[in-house]
Amino acid sequence: MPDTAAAPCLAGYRILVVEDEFLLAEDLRVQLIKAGAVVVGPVPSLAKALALLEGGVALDAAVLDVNLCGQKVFPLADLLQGLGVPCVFVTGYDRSMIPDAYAHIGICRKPASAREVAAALALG
Amino acid sequence: MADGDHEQRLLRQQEVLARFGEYALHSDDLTEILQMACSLVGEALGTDLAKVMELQEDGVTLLVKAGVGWPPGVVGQVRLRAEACSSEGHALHTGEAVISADIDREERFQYAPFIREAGVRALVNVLIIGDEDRPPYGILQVDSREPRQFTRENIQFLRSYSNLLAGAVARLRTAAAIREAAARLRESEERFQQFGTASSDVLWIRDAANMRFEYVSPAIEAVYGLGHAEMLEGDSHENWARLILPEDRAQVMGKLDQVRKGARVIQLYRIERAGDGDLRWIRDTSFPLFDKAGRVQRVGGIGQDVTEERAFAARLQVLVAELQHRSRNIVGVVRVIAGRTLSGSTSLADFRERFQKRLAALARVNDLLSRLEDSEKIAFDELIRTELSAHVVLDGAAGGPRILLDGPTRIRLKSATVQTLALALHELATNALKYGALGGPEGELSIRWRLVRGAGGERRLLVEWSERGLAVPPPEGGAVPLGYGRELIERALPYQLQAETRYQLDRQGMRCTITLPISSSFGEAHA
Repeated sequence: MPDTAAAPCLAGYRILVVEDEFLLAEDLRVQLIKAGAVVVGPVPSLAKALALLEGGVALDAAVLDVNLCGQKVFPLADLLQGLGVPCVFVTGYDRSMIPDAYAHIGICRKPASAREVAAALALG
Repeated sequence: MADGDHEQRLLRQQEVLARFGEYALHSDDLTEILQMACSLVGEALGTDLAKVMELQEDGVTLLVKAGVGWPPGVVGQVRLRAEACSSEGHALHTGEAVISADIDREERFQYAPFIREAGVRALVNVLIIGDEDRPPYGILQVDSREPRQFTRENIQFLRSYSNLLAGAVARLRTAAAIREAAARLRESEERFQQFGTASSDVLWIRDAANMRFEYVSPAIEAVYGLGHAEMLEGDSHENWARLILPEDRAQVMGKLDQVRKGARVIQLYRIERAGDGDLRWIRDTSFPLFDKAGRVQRVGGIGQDVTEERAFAARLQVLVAELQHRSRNIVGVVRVIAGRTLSGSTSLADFRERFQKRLAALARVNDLLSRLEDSEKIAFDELIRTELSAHVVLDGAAGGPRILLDGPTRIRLKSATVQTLALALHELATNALKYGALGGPEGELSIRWRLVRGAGGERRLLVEWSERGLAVPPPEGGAVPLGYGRELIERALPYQLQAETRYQLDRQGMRCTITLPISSSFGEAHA
């Protein structure tokens, strides 16, 4: 169920959503909008996300699924980190499955709510 | 007693000693020697009964080992106890020759029944001494059927004679012990070789001083690709070490040094296998072997090729990750489906029915997915049949709506697309049952599919789902609200599968086309 208790704590934040599963992407999109965020995407693949970045889209944060149809999201995470965009992984994996290089990136286990995402991003 | 007779007797005894000595030197059969000893002693002393009794391990039992003049059942069989009250016990105890000149008048000793039964009247016991620190071998007993005074001269002769006998016994016993030890050693060596040869792991032993191999089991050929014999030639340590990858080598040598200093080490390293150059992972368990002074004399070890084991473990890790990924995703999908179903439901009963059907569709497709091996894919015909079979009887149902399935088999779907496609097909099927062609006997559902070329020339699957004779005609004007089913088809499939979809509903019927990418390994049944 959508997190009905989600207060508009992400007001005005431009948040990129990368998630290959449509239903989950859509769910997250609706929740983030309810929390006041401006959702960029969602996009289902690394390629589409990279295309958005190349287009110079402005972002305050990014919510990343780790496994995109078998492709790992890490190159995108690297790029976003380089740009100073805070990220959070929304994933089925537990922490031990994530390389140590990303230990500083927060994890929300699926299915995640906007509130959990906000907490992991230390926003709102 | 005439001097001539005396001299004759002495000569005869000398001759017997010489003959026996010669015989005893040349024979390797203890029983034969003992038997010969018994017959020659009778010849020398003019008696027709004699025997050798062997002292057993317990130090008190005597076994009649050889003899002459005894009835059957005595030699090799009769045992007696050399108690203190027996002449034999006395001889064993004192080491002296013990004479009973007439056993009927003897008051010191008791005699074994078989001796009396044989008609013995007089006897003499002489000890056959043992080798160095060992207990006596036994007793040479010479018996007479007449009372007889054994003379000092007789006793002297018997002493010399039994010493000769003791020497022969000691020689044969030593030879037998050496033979036994050699046989045990051979057996032990053979056992070790069998063990080493049968082992699929490399067993090795090295000289701790220079780390050269003293022993390597033949598995070295399979594991390291090194010839077994060639391995042991020249600097065998170097032969082995050069196969270890340079980046692992220093650490391996460091650990081996620890073993030389007395540590036990288990280490993992990579080698480039000789011959095929294959990269293999070796797990080596090494341990020090100490000499009597407690110094590390040798280093032993067992090397196992764990390449497959590691690949298996890595594969398991991938599977666990996949399981986490899939199960968490499914929970997320179920949550969303529940939400969507709830918002489209008119009552809790309506929710319950639709939600259960959607869950069942999700379960069916995951069942299909979970049965796949690594490179296997689900074929479109398999998916559509599985979904439709859950709702209607396919193939040959009489009466009822007509269902036409037409398209090539074995078009392999990308596994990541299967779940969403299945959920979309489920929505199409349930809609067809409720409002569409499957809702009444007049309806006609046709599902045709074929391969087409995409914009980039890549192969895509085109599915045309069309229904004629709808059970519930759509409202005039065609404004149908975007429900969950249409959302899946018109939004989810394009988003997730890069599919192109069209959905058309009018009074003539319903028509939905889906074009989606397929697995690149299409056409190979077992790619």
